[in-house]
Amino acid sequence: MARNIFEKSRTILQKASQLIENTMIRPLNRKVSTQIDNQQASSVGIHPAAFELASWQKSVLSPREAWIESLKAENSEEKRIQLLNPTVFAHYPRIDLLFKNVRWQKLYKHVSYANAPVRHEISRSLKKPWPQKGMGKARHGDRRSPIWIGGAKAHGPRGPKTYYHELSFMVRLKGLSTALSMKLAQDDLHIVENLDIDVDDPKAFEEVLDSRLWGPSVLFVDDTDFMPERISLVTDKIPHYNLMPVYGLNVYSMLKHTTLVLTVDAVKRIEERMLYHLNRTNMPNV
Amino acid sequence: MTDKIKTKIPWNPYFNPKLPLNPTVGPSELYTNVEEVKVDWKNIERLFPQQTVPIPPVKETYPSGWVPPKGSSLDCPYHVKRSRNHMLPVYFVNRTVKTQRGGWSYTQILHIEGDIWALEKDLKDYLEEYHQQFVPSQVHELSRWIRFKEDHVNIINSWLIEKGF
Repeated sequence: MARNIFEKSRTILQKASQLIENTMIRPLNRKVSTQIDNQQASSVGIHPAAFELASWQKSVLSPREAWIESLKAENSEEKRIQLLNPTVFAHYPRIDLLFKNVRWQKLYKHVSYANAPVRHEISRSLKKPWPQKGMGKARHGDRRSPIWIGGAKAHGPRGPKTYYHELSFMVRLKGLSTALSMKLAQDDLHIVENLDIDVDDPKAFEEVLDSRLWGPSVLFVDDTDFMPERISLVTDKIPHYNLMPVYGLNVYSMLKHTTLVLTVDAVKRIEERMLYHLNRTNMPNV
Repeated sequence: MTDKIKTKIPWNPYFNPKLPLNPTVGPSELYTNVEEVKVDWKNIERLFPQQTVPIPPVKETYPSGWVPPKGSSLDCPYHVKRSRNHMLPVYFVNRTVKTQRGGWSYTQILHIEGDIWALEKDLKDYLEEYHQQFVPSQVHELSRWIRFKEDHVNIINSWLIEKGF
């Protein structure tokens, strides 16, 4: 009885690994096993011994699907499907971490130059304004003190202040995965074979994207930072269409632009990196 | 007309081992002669530390007492995912407070997917029946964890394994 269960689990895992191969790339420096790739299966949550998943669980743990489109004029050819890993593209929405990431991105570069001089920095004389006794007036030593108009500020801001801080690694990771999953869930994520266009005029390119309702602002993400010539020249004129390599992907840009366009290479790179960091065990100071 | 990309150099050659590390730029006369020797790196690669914990091979029983997940029932509205070390995500936290109040301790269950309140209800009923005592609990929907006061790690582990997580 137990033997049958394990045999059945092996066949199911074989099917699962074929399904998963499209989505995941193995982490580097890892031996390529001739048997079923257990690491890929575990990252989705399917275990060799788990031979039956509830329909509800299948919807949560199974990969998501997206059409592979193109930036050129649409053809009537058959479209391929890109499988997306659910831990990256269907993450539970952590909107608190999204907020933290956006605030961090804005604030870590901020320097406050506010400076209020202290009483010995005020340019006023140190002369005693009137004698100590006999005047019927309050006793003062100089006109620089905080209680005087034009005097110092007692506990004011002091000098340039940096707001530099680092967010923890998991907060940044989960912020990225939350942003990606929210873009996918809200139909603002499009996957593209490559960034090749057949149009030279910026206005014509804008019309092509408007006809597809791809949002006023679009962020194109590719694996390299050497972008094709045509799209670079066209998007150079349009401020709300921006090109970005994968290493520049951040939560603020994803929320700022209405639609996010990823190439297939970019999807593979993002998934590989995210799954590596979510599954690795050597995280000393991170 | 297709776009021409003259040189597609990887932004970090570590991640793209197929492409050459130092692509030649300029006339080849300036470069010294290089002889590439094919080496079988197997004996060195096997010494590298593993960066991820692989799933153990399928067996009937394991000497450590580790139990793989066998798959929960079709009706179950929740799922508890295993950690990256393939262990159940149930942890006992004992916080010492350096005042007269003393410390406080709880067991925490992470990586919960689905109906978190249903899991909390089921677990709470089981624990209260086991201990014949009220067990305070806390549910965090956004971070997807549940806490129960005091140490219930082994009880919860056996309950989760029975459920098939």
